[in-house]
Formats: sequence, structure tokens, C-alpha cells
Amino acid sequence: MLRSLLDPAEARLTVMVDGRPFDAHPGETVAACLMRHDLVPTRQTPTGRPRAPYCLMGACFECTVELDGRTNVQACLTPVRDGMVICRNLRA
Amino acid sequence: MPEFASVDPATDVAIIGAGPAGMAAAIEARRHGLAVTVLDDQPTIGGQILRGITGARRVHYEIWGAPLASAFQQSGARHVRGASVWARDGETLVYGVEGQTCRLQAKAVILATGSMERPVVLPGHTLPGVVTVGALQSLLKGSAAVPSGRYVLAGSGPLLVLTALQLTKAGAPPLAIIDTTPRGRWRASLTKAPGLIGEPALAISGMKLLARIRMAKIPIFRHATDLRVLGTDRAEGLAFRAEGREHRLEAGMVALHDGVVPNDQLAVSFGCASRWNADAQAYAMVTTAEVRASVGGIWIAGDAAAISGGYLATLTGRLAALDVARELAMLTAEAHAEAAAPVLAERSRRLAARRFVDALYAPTLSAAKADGSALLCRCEEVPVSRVRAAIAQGATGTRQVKAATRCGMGPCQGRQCTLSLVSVLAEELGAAVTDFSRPSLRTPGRPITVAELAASHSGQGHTGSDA
Repeated sequence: MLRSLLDPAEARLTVMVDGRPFDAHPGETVAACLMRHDLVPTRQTPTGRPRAPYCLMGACFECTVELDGRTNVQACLTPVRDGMVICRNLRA
Repeated sequence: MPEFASVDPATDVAIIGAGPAGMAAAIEARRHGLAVTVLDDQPTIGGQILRGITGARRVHYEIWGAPLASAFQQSGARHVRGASVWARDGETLVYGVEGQTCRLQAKAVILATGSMERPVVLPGHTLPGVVTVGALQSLLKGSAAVPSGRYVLAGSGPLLVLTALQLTKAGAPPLAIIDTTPRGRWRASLTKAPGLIGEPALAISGMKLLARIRMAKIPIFRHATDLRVLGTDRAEGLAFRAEGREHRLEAGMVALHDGVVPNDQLAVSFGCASRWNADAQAYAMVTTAEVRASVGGIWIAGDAAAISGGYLATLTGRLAALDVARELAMLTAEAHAEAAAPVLAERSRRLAARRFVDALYAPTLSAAKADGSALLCRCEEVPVSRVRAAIAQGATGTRQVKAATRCGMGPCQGRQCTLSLVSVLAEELGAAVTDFSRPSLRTPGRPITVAELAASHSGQGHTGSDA
């Protein structure tokens, strides 16, 4: 649902999302990276409804994912890092 | 085996937030020889309004932004990015950085946590693809990302037009702006603010923005009502009424906005008092003119206390730092008065226009008038109808509605539903918001792991501020 204004050649980082590799730009947040690759929803509610990043400033807690083994991390407050392992909160 | 907290060197003043208020407070405090640590939960300085100011500029910032950011970077204040503060234990702040718990002892705390967008409630607003208008700005300024397909901006407030222009300049114009500001608001608001005559710059800048929207040929639907996001598993468009008929616009993203309110969760969880601000239709933190909070050792600067915008936030940031410097005996009473007087004078002069903006952009997408199916509490999935039913069955206050519906008890801890809840209570009971107590907030105010909590103790009893 998003596209980057940066040169695609600059997307030199790689993150793993649910076991698959995706390119990432240095400085972009995990939430922006997920939305740019259309990896939404990023979580499901207890009743199974789909949710995705909403406020992008840390106030709504809709974008929480598992990051490098830490649970419930706000993706909008966290910049990507090369090799980062991201798991969306989705039930299979 | 619990990890222990890392303990920072003690500081004179801890400032929470690195937006305009926090940066201005840090610069002023350093000027008077205070040791300063700034804790900010964002990855870069600038807060929301100046997000990305130190990176490659993709938007035009207000002229005071760049000098402020550069003075902050040269001020000698210690800056901790990605730091999420969740407790105050005496003079010690407890915060997390990437899962690590840290403790910082500070003689004074300046809360500069800024604003957040007023929660909106309408059918479909929780679907993937629905974001806030501020979110689109954050993505542009912070991550250089723009919508890749068709999108609309809907709601009320100056941010709609500003964001539309910024995204148009970036090559991603919106399909349309759906403006929910009711007919007649402009005229009614002007009568409330004779002070506006002293602020022609504000009116002129507003008119300039609208002229540029017309030049960019972005359609605006005015006085829109009955908004509803289309789609079942993600946003597919927006339906609304305007100009006497139904409209349906297909779009993969829908950005909503209904003004901004103080981001005051931390202040409230630290026990600071707030009061209902009827002009702004939101809570405001109780402070003195020197921005001292009701709890000793805490000052609240900028929009975190009451909305007045980025530039005014730099003034209250300075006032907070000056008062802290006096408190910590780095400034005499006379020197303090001399330094604070011009800042106080400029602040009161510039506040004159605020009542006009508050009246013009009073909430338009409030839960009080929302369709019953719309979710009032996003986290706990509580529709407006369930809150109305709880009230019909006898709930007469926030606590009872919370107990009956779980409204406000999810991860966001009421950030996204408190104002909606009190507005529905007031509407259903024909009462004033001041008749209800504000829902309480307890430390930590955000989800933390048991390991983080265990680490925070460091062998010293409880961590809460309100136990």
C-alpha cells in the first residue's frame, strides 16, 4: 500500500518477515517496511479480525509484532536493521 | 534468572520527548548549567511536527525548526532514542530501550510528550489500509514512503490540507479531500475569537493553503457526514454524504483526522491532575503559568498539557527549564523573572488565536454521534452500541462502563478510547463531561514483559507511582 521515494538501489538491507526475505531501506521503520511490501494485516485481534499500522507514532498499539524474539514490539517506533527477524501476530 | 536494570548516571533534569517543547527545554536548561537527559521513544529527534528534520528534507518545515534541532544537537544534552518511559519511582524514572530496562535518577522531570490525533469512531475505521492523516505525514517525513495507490483524506482540521499538499509535492496526490467541518463553523468561530484580528498571519496562511489545493485540482467534498469505510478485510474505499447525496470513492487507503489532543498518558499515570477543557473538547493538564504540574518535581511543556502548536511548545519548554533552573538554584528569583517575562508575554499574545482554531475544528467524527456498529475501543473490540447498552442498563460513569465492557483495558490503555467514552456518556445521559471522573491510569501504561518488570525492581520494592 506504500511506495518509497528513495532509489530502489538504496534498499540494501534484508529483513526476514514470517520466514521470507524482503528488502529494506536504512532509516525506515519496521511498520513502513511492512506496509511498503503490502505485508498487512500485521496482527489479528482475539476474535480474528485483521489489523495493521494505524497511527504510526506509538499511540495506538495496532502495529505490534514480534521482533528478534521480543514480543509486542511497536513496529512504528523501531527502525529496520539488516537481518532483523520479524513475525507478524497472525494465527496460521 | 531476571536481568537487572542498567542504571544511568544521575541527571539534574530528565526531559521526556524530543519534539519542539523537549528540545527547547533542553537547550534552555543547558544554558543554565543543568545536566540534561532527554528520553524519547521515537527513532529520531523532532517529535511529530519536526520528524525527519535532521535527515534528507522531503517536506518544508516551519522556519524555526532547523535552528532548534541544530541548537539541541549542540547543547550537550544527553539524548536516548527509542526510550519508552513507563514508571516514576520517587526521583527515579524507569524506561525500556529494546527490551532492556533502565533506571535514571533525576531531580526534576519535564514531560514534553506532545500531542496525538483525536481518536475518531466510524464504521470500518479499524480495517487495514485505514490510517490517520498524521500517519501519512510520519511515513513521508520519517520513512520517505507515500501511498502507492488511490487514497483519500477525510475529516476536519488544518492537517488535511497541509498533508494533501505535501503528498502532492512528493508525487502522490490524494484522490479527494472529504471535509467534515460543518456548514457555518467559520462564521461561528470568528465570533468566539476577537483576538484573531491581531493574528492576520494565521488567516492568511490558511487561505494560501486552500488556494494551493485549488491549483493542484484536488477535489474537496465539503460538510460531509455519515462516513463509512468500505471493505471487509481491508479498506476498499469511503462512503459518505455530501452536497445532498451519497458518494462512494474507491481507495486502498483511507486517512482520517479530527484534530489533535494532548498525549498526556504519562502525566496522568504519574498522578498529575487534569481538567476538562470545554473549548478544546479534551482534557488539559493542570499547570501553573510556569508549567509546573500538580505533582512536585514535574513540569509539563508543550502540547502534552494543552494543544497550542509547535512554536508555542518551544516557549513553554523554555518556561519549564527556567523554572527548574530556579528550583535547583542555578538562577536567582530576579534572574528567573527577567528571563521568563518576555517568554510569558509572547506566549499569552500568541494564545489569542487558539480559541478560534478550537471552535473551528471541534470534533466531527466523535463516538457520541457514531453508528452503533463502529468500534469505540479498538483494542478490546467494543462497539459503540455495547457502551450505549451498558449505560442504558445503569452505568453512570467511566469505571462502570469499563467494568461492563472492558473498554479501555487493552494494550493502548485508553489512549484511543477515553475521549470517545466520556463523549458517549455525556451524550447518552444528557450530562456534561465534567460530571464523569477521568478513567484512571496505572503504571506501566503500556504492555511490558514480566522480565522487564522484574528488572525494574533492582532489589528496591515497587516501581509504581500510584500504589
